[in-house]
Amino acid sequence: MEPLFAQRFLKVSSHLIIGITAPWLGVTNLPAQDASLVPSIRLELATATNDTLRADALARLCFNLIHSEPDSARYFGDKALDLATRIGQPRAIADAHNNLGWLETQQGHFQEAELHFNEALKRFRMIGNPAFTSVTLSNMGWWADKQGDRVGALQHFQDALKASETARDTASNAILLYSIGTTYSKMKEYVRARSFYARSMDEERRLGRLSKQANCILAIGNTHRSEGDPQKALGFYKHAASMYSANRDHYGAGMVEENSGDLFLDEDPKKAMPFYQRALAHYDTLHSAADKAYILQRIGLAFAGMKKYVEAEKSYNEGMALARSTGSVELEMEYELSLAELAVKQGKSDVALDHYQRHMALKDSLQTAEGQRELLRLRTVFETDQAEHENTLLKTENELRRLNEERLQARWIIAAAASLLLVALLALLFRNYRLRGKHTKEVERFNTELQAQRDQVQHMNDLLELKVLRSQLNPHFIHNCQNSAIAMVKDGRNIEALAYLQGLSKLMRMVLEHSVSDRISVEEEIAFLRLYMKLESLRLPGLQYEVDADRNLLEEEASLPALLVQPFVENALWHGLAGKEGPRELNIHFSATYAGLRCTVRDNGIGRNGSGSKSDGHRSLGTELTNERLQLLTHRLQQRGSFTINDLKDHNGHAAGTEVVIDLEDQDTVHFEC
Amino acid sequence: MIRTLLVDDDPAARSYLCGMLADAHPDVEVIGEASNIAEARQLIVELKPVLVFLDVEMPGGSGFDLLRDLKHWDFEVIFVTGFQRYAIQAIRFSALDYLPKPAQPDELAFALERYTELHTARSDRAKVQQQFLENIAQKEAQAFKLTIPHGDRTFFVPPAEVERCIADRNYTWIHLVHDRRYLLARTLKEFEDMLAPFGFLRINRSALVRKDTILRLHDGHAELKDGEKLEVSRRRWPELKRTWAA
Repeated sequence: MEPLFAQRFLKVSSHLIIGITAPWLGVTNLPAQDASLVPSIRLELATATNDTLRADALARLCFNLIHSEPDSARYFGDKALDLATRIGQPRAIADAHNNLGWLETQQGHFQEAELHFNEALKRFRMIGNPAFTSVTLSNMGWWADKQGDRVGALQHFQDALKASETARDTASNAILLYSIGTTYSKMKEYVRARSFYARSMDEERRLGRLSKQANCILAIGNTHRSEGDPQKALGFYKHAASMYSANRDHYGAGMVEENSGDLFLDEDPKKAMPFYQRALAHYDTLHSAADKAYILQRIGLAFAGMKKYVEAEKSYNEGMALARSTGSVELEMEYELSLAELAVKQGKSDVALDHYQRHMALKDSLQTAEGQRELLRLRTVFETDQAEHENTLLKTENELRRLNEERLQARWIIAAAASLLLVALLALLFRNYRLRGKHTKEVERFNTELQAQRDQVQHMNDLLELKVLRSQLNPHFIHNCQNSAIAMVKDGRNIEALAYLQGLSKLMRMVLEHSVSDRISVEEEIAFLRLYMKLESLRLPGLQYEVDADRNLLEEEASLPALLVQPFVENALWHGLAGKEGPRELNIHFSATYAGLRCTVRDNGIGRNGSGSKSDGHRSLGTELTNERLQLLTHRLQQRGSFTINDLKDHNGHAAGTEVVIDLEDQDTVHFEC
Repeated sequence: MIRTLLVDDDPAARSYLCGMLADAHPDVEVIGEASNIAEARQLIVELKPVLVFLDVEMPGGSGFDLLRDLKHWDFEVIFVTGFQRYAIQAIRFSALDYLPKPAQPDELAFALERYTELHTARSDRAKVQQQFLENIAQKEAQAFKLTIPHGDRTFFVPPAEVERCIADRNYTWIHLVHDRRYLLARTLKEFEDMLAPFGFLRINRSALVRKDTILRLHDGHAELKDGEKLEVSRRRWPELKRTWAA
């Protein structure tokens, strides 16, 4: 009886695992493979509007046909894989591999299955969704289990459990815990098996699935039974039976009654009978011929045990008819054997022989069937190979056609490009032709452009020159300042020397900052000139100076080229005022004019004539530089600028100083455009 | 007394600053001088200064390196630096003080005045210091954040969150996005120097505006996206039109 028990036992578990292998949607508690769905999925496939939907339909076709039509399932699975690969969807590819792996597992093609599972696993891991990897790992668990590799199965289920725990998928957790329990049970590690069944039950309780909880209890009962403790087993079976009944789960209820009956069949067949009768009633409700065929054999055995041979024979005959109708040759064989045994017990040896012969005939037919099945398998292999071969040929042909098409396409592209080029060339020629008339104009335009470029270069040179001029100014001025500082130190005027040098360093900082920008604001220029004159006043005792500007110039933030005015001031100081007796006065004023701004530098010094007689190197250098600078500025800054020098006279007509007027026009139109 | 440490590799510069400090503030007491950051680190531990004048460029490690090593410090720093644009930007953005070399008496006096104000007011020194270290950890000045002390709080904003700066005598109103504004004790000119590289334009004597907040330029005014209308200085108009259009 042990094999049968194991078989019924597996029936429960296979019922559970199938739920996990609903891969496409990533939902693990979908219904099991269901061939009745196939027509509607086929319709979906026919009306699918894109490859993603098509791949999805193909995958589901494969999945739902795995048990009923494995060859068709393989066909659709391969197609799904092809399509998924073509559209490059890693998830769809992985699903296809997962389905094919399950299919090959069911077919006992373990190596092929392993390859598919590995491909699926690799991709699911890349996608990074633990719920997906859990599905494949679980399937791999059954793959190992089917090969009798319990340790491997355990390993895969544990990995799957880890993944589903990461995914927080309670339903999968429950199923995997059950699978692990089953595996331990097969390893005869019943204590461990029970602990996993119990954990699975906890999860199912959380999910509120009564029947599945009952499954766990039933499984726990089975472990006790396997340990040889029918009392404990019965306790669990009863508990499970009440839960199944409460949930109107006739299949489960029938199963548990059947198992309960099995506990007593050998020792006390009378006790077993009511269980079997109840099981029969449940299966009857389900109209499940296969299950009734099973239980009727049990009932017959019980009657035989109770020596009620007529009832036993009746049950056997009824069951055998059902077994025949469901095409279960194995079961029919068992019935013939049971009837033979019954006849022996009754002393009807001729009837017994008859049944034995039928049993042997069935066995032969089964073997023939096995042989035929083998033949069929071989033929399928051959046909598949043939198909594959044809497929390869077709593929090659397709590839050739594709290449040809590509070549044609390339040729087309080249032709298109060539014609485009031709058009462009024609356009160019045409334009050239038209332009020939305007050739002279074009040359002129080029000349203008060239001129502009030359101007640009000139402009840059000017800029450079300006910078050079600026730096030329510095050493000259610094040289004077250094001499002054040295003189102060020599005279023991240390504090003055310190202040002087501090001022100088501040001035140098200003020069440095100003040299970065071409223009500075009037405000900044005033600050600069004030500091400059403060420094110079230390070397020119009695110097009175004043620098100011019209208020609106400051408001408007008028600007001017940096370091433009300073050389004029330097001239006024050292060639107008230095040689003068009495009060020395210098006024610098910035005022707004219609066109821009004006800077007036006025001193009460000895005048140009006076200074001319005292001419020295400084003077000529200073004036020359100033002239050059102004010329450059007018050129470079597109700002017209000019300066005039007025010799001032007192009322007696004597020289009373010099006035330099620098006029700068604004570089832009001052009118607002809107 | 303001216990002050001078850090500069040039003895002449130290002696110059020492002399200036004696004149600048009666409370300043120079308690030590260091010529490199290793010495400085030692003296900071031994002498516990409250104010450090710190040269930026020194052989064997810059002033920035010293602060980076310390991570946080319980003294105020006034940097002393030459014409180094990156360093100056970093210091200014972090609302710390610096003196360009050689220090001018008025600048020194101003820095010390600020120190006395800050020293009593600044309560979140750690945050300011951390922001400074973050700023100098940036490769370029473009990534600096602006430190805005406000009462006993301090804000750190990227320049992109500044909309405009409006001068108010020697102070500046800094307007941030979402209608926030703070008055800072700095001149508009300082902000112009700091923010010019970030697309800020002076549009008149007292307004510095981020270019992309200008909705349009019309009739001598800049109309800003938040509805504000600011007069554009006549002389800045052509240049502004050109830059804004670019």
